[in-house]
Amino acid sequence: MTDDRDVLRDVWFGRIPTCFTLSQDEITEREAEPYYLLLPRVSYLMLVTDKAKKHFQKVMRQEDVGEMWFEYEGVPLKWHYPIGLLFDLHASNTALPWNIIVHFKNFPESELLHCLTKDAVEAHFMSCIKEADALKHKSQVINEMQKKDHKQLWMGLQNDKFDQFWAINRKLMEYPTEEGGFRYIPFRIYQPLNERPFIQKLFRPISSEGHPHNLGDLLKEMFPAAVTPEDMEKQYQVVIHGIEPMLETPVQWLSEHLSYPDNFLHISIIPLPRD
Amino acid sequence: METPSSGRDWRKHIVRQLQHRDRRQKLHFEDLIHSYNQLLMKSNIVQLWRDKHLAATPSLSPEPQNVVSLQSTHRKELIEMYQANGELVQEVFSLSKQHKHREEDLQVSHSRLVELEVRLSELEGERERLLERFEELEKANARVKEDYDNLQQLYRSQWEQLLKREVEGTELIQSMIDIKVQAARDLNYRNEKPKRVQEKNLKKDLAVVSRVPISMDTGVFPPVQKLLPEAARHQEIKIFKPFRSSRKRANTSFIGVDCSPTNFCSVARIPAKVRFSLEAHDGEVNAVKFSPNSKILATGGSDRKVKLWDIVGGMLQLVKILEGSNDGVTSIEFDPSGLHLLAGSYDNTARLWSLKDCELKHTLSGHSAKVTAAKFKFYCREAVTGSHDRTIKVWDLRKAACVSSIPLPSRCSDIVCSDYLIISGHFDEKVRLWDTRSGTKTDEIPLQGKVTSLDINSERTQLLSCSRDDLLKVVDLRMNETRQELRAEGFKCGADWTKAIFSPDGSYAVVGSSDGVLYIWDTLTGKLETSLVGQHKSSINAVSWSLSGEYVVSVDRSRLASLWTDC
Repeated sequence: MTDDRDVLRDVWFGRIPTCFTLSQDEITEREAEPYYLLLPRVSYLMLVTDKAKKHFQKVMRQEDVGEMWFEYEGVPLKWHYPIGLLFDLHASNTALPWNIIVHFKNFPESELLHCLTKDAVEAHFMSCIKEADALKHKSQVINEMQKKDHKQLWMGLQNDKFDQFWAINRKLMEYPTEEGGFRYIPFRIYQPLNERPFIQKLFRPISSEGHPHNLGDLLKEMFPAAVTPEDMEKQYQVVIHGIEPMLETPVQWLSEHLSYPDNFLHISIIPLPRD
Repeated sequence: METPSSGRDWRKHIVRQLQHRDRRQKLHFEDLIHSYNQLLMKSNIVQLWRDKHLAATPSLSPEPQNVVSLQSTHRKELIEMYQANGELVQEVFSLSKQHKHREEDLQVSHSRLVELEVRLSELEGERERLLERFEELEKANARVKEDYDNLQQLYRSQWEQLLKREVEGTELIQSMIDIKVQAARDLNYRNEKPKRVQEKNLKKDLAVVSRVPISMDTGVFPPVQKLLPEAARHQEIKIFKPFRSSRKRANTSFIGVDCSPTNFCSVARIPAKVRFSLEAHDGEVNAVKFSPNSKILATGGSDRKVKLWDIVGGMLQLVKILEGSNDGVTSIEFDPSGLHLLAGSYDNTARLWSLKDCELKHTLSGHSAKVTAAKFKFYCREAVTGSHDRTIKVWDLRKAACVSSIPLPSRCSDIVCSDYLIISGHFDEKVRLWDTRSGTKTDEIPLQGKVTSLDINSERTQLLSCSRDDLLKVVDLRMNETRQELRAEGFKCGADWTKAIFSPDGSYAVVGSSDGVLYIWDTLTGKLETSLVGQHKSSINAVSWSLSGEYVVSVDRSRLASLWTDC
């Protein structure tokens, strides 16, 4: 369906306007102007911030430049989360553009992972895909693929090539027709302030009776609080890719169309702001 | 559980939501951020320039104007540099093209070089091969040459051997011939033995008979006749025995000449006319002689033949031709038995034929010029030949070898033999007498002309000589004095070999002259008895009177032989 295709394209080409500001702590030779960027939702911070890094390094001395890390409202941003997820989780209801503070020193060892090269990002990305396929197809599809296909997935993501990426990715979105869907749906449910990083459990897209599950079923099972009864106020927002899909949306469809490039359905559950 | 409508609902919801999100988050900010980034970039560039110029020229006035001029100058510089860059690029391009061309040429010449090298090696190889071939051919040639030389030598040696063998062969043949000839001679000699014995006996008988005085009466005949038939029978018996073998040998129908003796007539009848004449030879007829038994006449001519004639019915009939002489016959003599014939010839030889089988018995060769006279000496034992080489040779007829040779001062024209004398006539107008016992000259009779012929009478007492001065002389041998000189008018001695003879009884002398006329003298009186003209047109060479006295035969130069009788 063309709608589905449009959905895929809109998901892929989603952007977030960001303003990178150098931290006040950093020693600069001159005043550094803020750097604005439209960050792709589906990518990762470390892949798309090279220009910002260069921009800020111009005003700094060489010896002061350490590993770059980002922070929003005091929260160090994990680079191994997709940018869209980070935004939805931390700043979905705030004013745009998204203001990120750039740090070059005082790397928070306890909270962030080091990311010295892009290979770390690639390794993380590929492992996520493999994990997703393990849930979906018992790793059959990903293992049948050649190394060049894996590389093509990564290059497609890195260079923002929708067709290149989806040429391979659609294989990962196939399922045997008799099954009616994947084996299990790869998803993660995130909360902004929580001990646990995310909720990930086995969840079948088709019920034992044969009818497909929807988002409501998933939430009921994983995060029942998110599903508000009719008479009560809505407490949580269930955001995927910056939108709130209806609870009737089948999870199989969601997994096929609203997954991130790493084939996971990253769901943010944000408490509704009380104002 | 999804109804299509509800399915579409949530889908639509999602689509709307996404669009809304994008509008909010992306679209509003897109252009703004883009412009902002461009400005940022420009300000960075300006910063850079400012930094550069501050470092280069600190004393710079406020920035904005300078910046603009700087910008323009920099832009110009940039344009110039771009132009220079372009030119350099062009040069690089052309140079690289040239380089390429050079490379190509180099490649081409390189490949050509390789080709030529290959060709060179090929040619070298070929040259090597050709040299080898040439050497081989030379070697082969040398070998062939060697073979050829060897063969040549071999051929030469073989040829020499062949020549040697041929010489040996001819020698062998010659020796064989000699042996055969010797054997033949031995055989002949053996065959002649009985003949000789027979002759001896005959001689004895004749001696016996001769002692008996012979008178002119016919009354004498019977005793003679008696005797003779005995002798004849004796002879005949003797004749037949030895010749049996020869008869077996010979194939001819006519074996021998009939040698039976006939009547011995001592009366010489003067011939009166020509009874018969014929062409006897193919050339000059040089000699004529009756055989002792009057039956056979022998003529010899320059046609090299000795012809034997029989007088039958007053005519000459050719009985036999004796061949063997290699040149004209000069003189003929029968031996006293009539069995042998001795003829001298121009070919420097004298030949002896046996008349029984008409075979050539001996050839007496040794003279170096023509033999003018050949006479028997002691019957068949010895012969005497005189020749133009100024020698007289005595031959032993058994061996057919020359016993002695008497050198003479002059050529001998004729010879007669008596018991112990050899009388020879010479061209130096002398007649010489030789004693055979002592072997020396006893006497010499001078004449006035070349002696052409000699004759001796049957008693051996008188000698008749004919000489070129047309004179005949009768000489007494016992007294050695000239008895008579016979001359005649019209008589001319025709040749150097004109023969004059006694009549059988010695009372007449007859000779032929150069004009073909026969002259007869009486020897007792010395007067010309008669001169006979016959059929002769040319000079008469020789005359012969049969022992019976009946016939006279004359032969002349134009091949004619005439038979004269008195009736």
